[in-house]
This record gives sequence, C-alpha cells and structure tokens, in this order.
Amino acid sequence: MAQGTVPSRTDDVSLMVITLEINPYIWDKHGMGAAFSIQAMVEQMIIFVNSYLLLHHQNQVAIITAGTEGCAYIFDSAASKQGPSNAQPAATNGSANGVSEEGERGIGSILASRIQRVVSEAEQKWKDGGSGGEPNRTTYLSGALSMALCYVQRCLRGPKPQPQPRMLCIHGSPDAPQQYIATMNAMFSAQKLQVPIDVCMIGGQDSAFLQQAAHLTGGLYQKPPRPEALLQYLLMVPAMDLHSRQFLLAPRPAGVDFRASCFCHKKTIDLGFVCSVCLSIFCQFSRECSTCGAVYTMARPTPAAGAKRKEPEA
Amino acid sequence: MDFIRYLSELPPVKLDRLYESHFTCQAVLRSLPPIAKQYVLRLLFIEQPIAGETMRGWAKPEALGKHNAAMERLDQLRVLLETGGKSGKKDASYRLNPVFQQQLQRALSGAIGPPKDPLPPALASHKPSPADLNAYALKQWESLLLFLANAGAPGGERRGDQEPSKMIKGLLRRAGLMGTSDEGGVRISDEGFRFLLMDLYKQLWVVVREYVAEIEDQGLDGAQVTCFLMELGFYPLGEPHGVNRLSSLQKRVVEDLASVGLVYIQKAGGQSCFYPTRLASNLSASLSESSTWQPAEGFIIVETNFRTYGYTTSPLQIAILRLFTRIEYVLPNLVVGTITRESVNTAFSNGITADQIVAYLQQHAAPQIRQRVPVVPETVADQVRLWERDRNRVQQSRAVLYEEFPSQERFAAVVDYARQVGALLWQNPIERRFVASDGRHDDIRAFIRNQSRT
Repeated sequence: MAQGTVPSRTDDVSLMVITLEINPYIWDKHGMGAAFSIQAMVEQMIIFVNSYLLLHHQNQVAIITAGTEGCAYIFDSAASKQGPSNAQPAATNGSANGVSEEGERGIGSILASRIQRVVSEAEQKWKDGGSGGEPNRTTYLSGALSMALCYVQRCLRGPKPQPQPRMLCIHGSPDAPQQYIATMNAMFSAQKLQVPIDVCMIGGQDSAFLQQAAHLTGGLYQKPPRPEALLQYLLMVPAMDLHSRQFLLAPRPAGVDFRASCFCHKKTIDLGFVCSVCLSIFCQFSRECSTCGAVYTMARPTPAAGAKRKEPEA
Repeated sequence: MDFIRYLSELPPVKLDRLYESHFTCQAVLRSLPPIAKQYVLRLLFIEQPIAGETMRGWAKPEALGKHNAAMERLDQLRVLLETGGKSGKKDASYRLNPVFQQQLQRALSGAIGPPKDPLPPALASHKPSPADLNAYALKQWESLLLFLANAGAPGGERRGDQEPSKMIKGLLRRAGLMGTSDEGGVRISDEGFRFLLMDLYKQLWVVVREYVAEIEDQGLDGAQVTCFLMELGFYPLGEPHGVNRLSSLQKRVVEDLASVGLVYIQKAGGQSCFYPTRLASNLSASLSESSTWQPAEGFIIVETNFRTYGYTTSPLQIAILRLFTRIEYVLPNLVVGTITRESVNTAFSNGITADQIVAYLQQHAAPQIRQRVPVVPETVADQVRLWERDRNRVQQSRAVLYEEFPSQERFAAVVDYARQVGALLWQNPIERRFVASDGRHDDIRAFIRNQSRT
C-alpha cells in the first residue's frame, strides 16, 4: 500500500466535502458525555465552515451527516450560489464569479436548523428503537464516504475549471467490521480520484479504517485529546488547503493500523487466509472461496499448504 | 494585490480605524497570501501571545522564505502585533490585532450579516433581475474602458453612445491613465494602455483607490468610504438596500459609484434604493497573484500561425484586440486578426509589454483551448517576446560630431585627446570628422580652445 500523493496546486481554492458524525449513541451520555454536546459541535462547525468559505470566494463546501439510520446531504454552498449566477451572462473580462450570495448571509442559521432536524430525528428513532430489540449503534461511515465521492464526481464532471476536491471526516464511532469492504472500496476510489481524506476523530478510540483512508489518500489523520476544542483542531489542520500543505508542517501520524477484516465473519484479524485468485481475506480455512467461487485443490488438506498466509503489514 | 498595497501604505492609526468594520477584516483576510490566511485562522481564537519561534515551527524548514514573507505581510497590515519580548527578531512573540481578532470572530460566528432592508412598495414592482444588474454593470464599466480605449485610437473617433461623467474623467486623469494631447483633447497615456490589459480586479482597485484619494483630498473621511466599499463587497447580490440609512457621505459614494457600475440606483416616488452589482462583489474577491484560477468566459483563440480569433461582439474587446493585432475581418460575432510585427510594435510604443500581451491572450482564452498546454502557442508567445527584445537591442545615447578642423595635425591631436579620456566613438581622418560621447564634450571643447590659442 503506497502512501497517497496529493497533486500540488498553485492556488488555494478547494471544494470540501465534510462528513459529520451524528450517531446519537456517540453523542449521548454513554459516549462523549457532558464535556462536548452535539450542539457545541454544531456551533463550532458553523464557525469552521464560515471561516473556510471566507478564505477564498470560490471555496465550496458540502456537508453530509452520517448516522445510524443513514446519511443525508444537509448543506451545499454551491447550491445557494448556482441559481441566479447560471442564468446570467458572464461579466466583463476578469472574474465574474461573485461571492456566494446566500452563503455569506445565512450559513449559520441554515446549517444549525438542518443539523438540528437530522439529529433530533435520529435521536427519536434511536429512542424508539431502544425499546424493542437491539438498536443499531454503528454509523454508516461507508455510506457517507460513498455519498461524498458521488458529490465529488458530480463536481468533477461539471464545468471546468474546478476547485480541487477534498474530504473531511469528523467521526466518533468505532469501526464497524461489516462495513469493511464498502469502506475500503470508497477509500480506493478516493485514492484514484486523488481526493485526500482528512480525518478528525472525536470519539474515544482510533479508527483503523480512517487511519488507512488518510494514509492511502494522502490526507491528515488526527485524534484530538480534547474533543471539546474541536474548532481549534479544525482550524489548525484540515483548514490547510493543498497549496499551503506544501509549505506548512502537518502533524505526523503516530502509526497506522493496517489490519484487515475478514470477509466471512467481519472480524479484525492479524493473520488469516487469502484467496489466491481474488485476494479475499478469511479468518477460517474453507475449500471454496465464497467471493469468487474458486475451488482450492490441494494434495493435503492442510490449511498451511493450500491457502497463502497473509503477512501482517507493519 | 492593489488592495493590500493600498492598505499597507496607510498610517497605523487609519488602519486600526478600518479594522473596526468587520467587513474590512474579512476582505483583508481574503486577500492575504495562502499561508498568512492559515496563520490568521490558527491564531483566531488564541488570546495569548504566541512565540515567534513557535510560529516558525509551523512552516517546513525549506519554506522559511514563504513564512517570512507571510509574517512580513501580516506585520505590515498590523494584523499581527509584536508583544512582549525584545523587539529583536529572535524572541519576539505575536498576537492578532485585538480589534481585528474581535471583529473577525464576530463575523465568523454568523451572528451578524449584511443588513437587509425591506423594499419600498413603490419600487417592488420594478425590482431589477440579476441579469439586468449584470448588464448595467457591464455597460457602465465597458463604457469607461471604451472611452479610454477610444482616446488612444488614431483619429479619436467616439463610438460610445455616452461619455463618462466628469468625475470619472477626473479619476482617469488623476490615476495618470489619461493625459492631454497636443491639440487639447484627451489622450490615453502609457499607463492607460497597460491599464486596459489588466484584469478586472486590478482595474477596479486602480479606480477605487483614486476615488478614495480624491475624497480625502476634499477633506472628507476616506476611512469611512473604504469601509463602506468593503461592506458593498460582501452584500448579497441582487438585494435592495435603502439609501435612507446611509450617512450623507455614503450617499454621495453610492451616487458616484453608480456611474462606474458598482451599484445600481433605483428611484421611484421619492424613494430610492441601491443594488450592489457583480463588480462590487469583486472588491472582496481574493485573487492572489499566484492564482491560476480564471473564470471560463474567454473568447480568444490564438493559432500557431499568429492568427487570432475573438468571438466577441463587445466594442471594448475589439478595441483592446486592436491594440496589438491587425484586424482583418469583423463579422457579427467574430473578429479575425493577425499578430504582426507592426501591430505588436505599435503596442510596444504605447508602453504595453510583451508579457502583458501574452497574459491577456492567456486570461481570455476561449474555453475550447483552455485545456491546451500552453494556452498561447509557444511560437506566438516567444515571437512576441523576441519582438520586444528587438526593440531593446539598440540603445540611444547623446553624442557630439566634431568637424571642420583646420589641419590634419590639430585633428589628430584632438582625436588623441578624445581617445585618452575614453570618449572617442568614431573617426574619419580623411574628412577630418570624429564623434565623441556627449559626457566629455566640455573637456574636449576646452582642449580645442586651448589648442587654437597656441
């Protein structure tokens, strides 16, 4: 796994897609506790988005929430700008792309109300679900990443020239092994599209998935020791545009957890079996690959001889 | 970078007054170099001074030059203040200008936005559409540029249907873009030709800066005008604003700016309101010099054979193309011209540089050829630069011709002397003439006098 390289840019314009953790389980007393409420997070996010948009008048931002019930696009700074400006003929020579008309005015209130709505819906569902059966506590990270990539794709196919797209994951919940394949696929797509994924972990533990995502795509991974000061961390690291990253130092990752999850039981494993045809990973030996259907023919049915052992990566 | 340069030339007291408006703070942040922007963000919510050493640690060691440039810019603009420590470079510590910091925090928290005024009912039915506003801004600004361009055209024919107001003419003259010709008419200056080829942002700032200076010369409050202009830049487009809540000075500014196309004034039934146009929002745009980001609205295609196609109907753009191309056909939506040695030389003699021509062609390249690398064919760009260098190949300096020497001996003596002082340039002993550089003329004349006396 080669570390991702990010194309260098000569200007500091970018399109940022933010995925925002709104899993009520994380934000509830069980998780973050009273130290950092979701309301405080929303307030800090608003300031962050405002400052990011202020940096350059062509900066764009889109926000996707990731919760236990699904993901949703809740904000798109380009949408509020596009309506009137597309209908107009271009101005004289030089720049015609004005400041986002609506953007400057009401981002705070728009964002706050939309996030609040999504959050309260999620909380409601979570409480309803809590009475009967085991509630889903995992956040749809893979879903949010895929939606973000779809958004990036749409922009890349739009009129040129485009700002450099990048992604920021504000994530708190532990990795969900059942999303391993989808998440990894999203990462590889991001790598191919040269979209760096920056990660800011606000939960208690590191996320192996997102560590790998940042590593693969050339993004920055950080886990603030004090999540309640989220804004300062955001202003220090992910606010850096790709142009400035050539000149400014970024925090060094302590290490990346490269362990994979097996395809059969979705467990995180150090050692396992890898299909010699399709490279699927399994924690148990079987005679047939469940992914590609390859049948392993062996002289002796001992696991060690038939399937290759996956070497743990450092 | 005209805006920044303008601000950094202001005395500290004035600058601090400007920062009392959060619009100015936002505009300043936007026009900083990328790294400096990041530094401001990092310090935005930090109240304590930060050691200069720590800040140096933010930049990569190899990018120390960029770091120093950013720090210098921040210091010049008084965004970053040195506190504590010795004022020596080593152990100084910095913090954001408290006024600037406070205003920016307020602006970013989203608590305040541009004021919104209800549209008076008398005007509501005639609210201009964004397209109308755009067309108005375009017309006003182009008429200004066209006036300037036509002032330079031979014969000075007036094709514009309207003359710009007296105030604008005054501004243009003040900025040194126009001078008075020998016949008493107006003439575009070399500066003016360069102005025509600048991008819109720079042009705007040239005019705005002169306008503010003009206001100050009249003994009025320039800072208030600058703040107001910044504020206009952040107003949402196409929204009406009442004139009544403005101060009398601001009212005057609005009236003046309407003639340039920055705002559109609507009047009906004794009430009036104004709409900032797209030009106004350009005032707060952040176009740094390093930016390769250009809006896709070009119209020029340059071929390797020096043929230039301009898909435009605007008389201004045709006039600008005419500055450095030989126009061959003018079709309803297309002008075809050739970049020739003569046409480019005319441009050079008007003070336009080769780099400006190439940059103009690049900036206004049609979207079809925008993806091409390089946008302007190398042959054309190189040739234009070579032609410019051709002009600089010959240098002129004053010299004096000496002739009609009475005898060959005298001639030889004087030539010898001229050679000794290093002034001899050319000699012809048969015709007894020689040329020496002007600088030593007095010495040589004295020598000849002495000789003729003896």
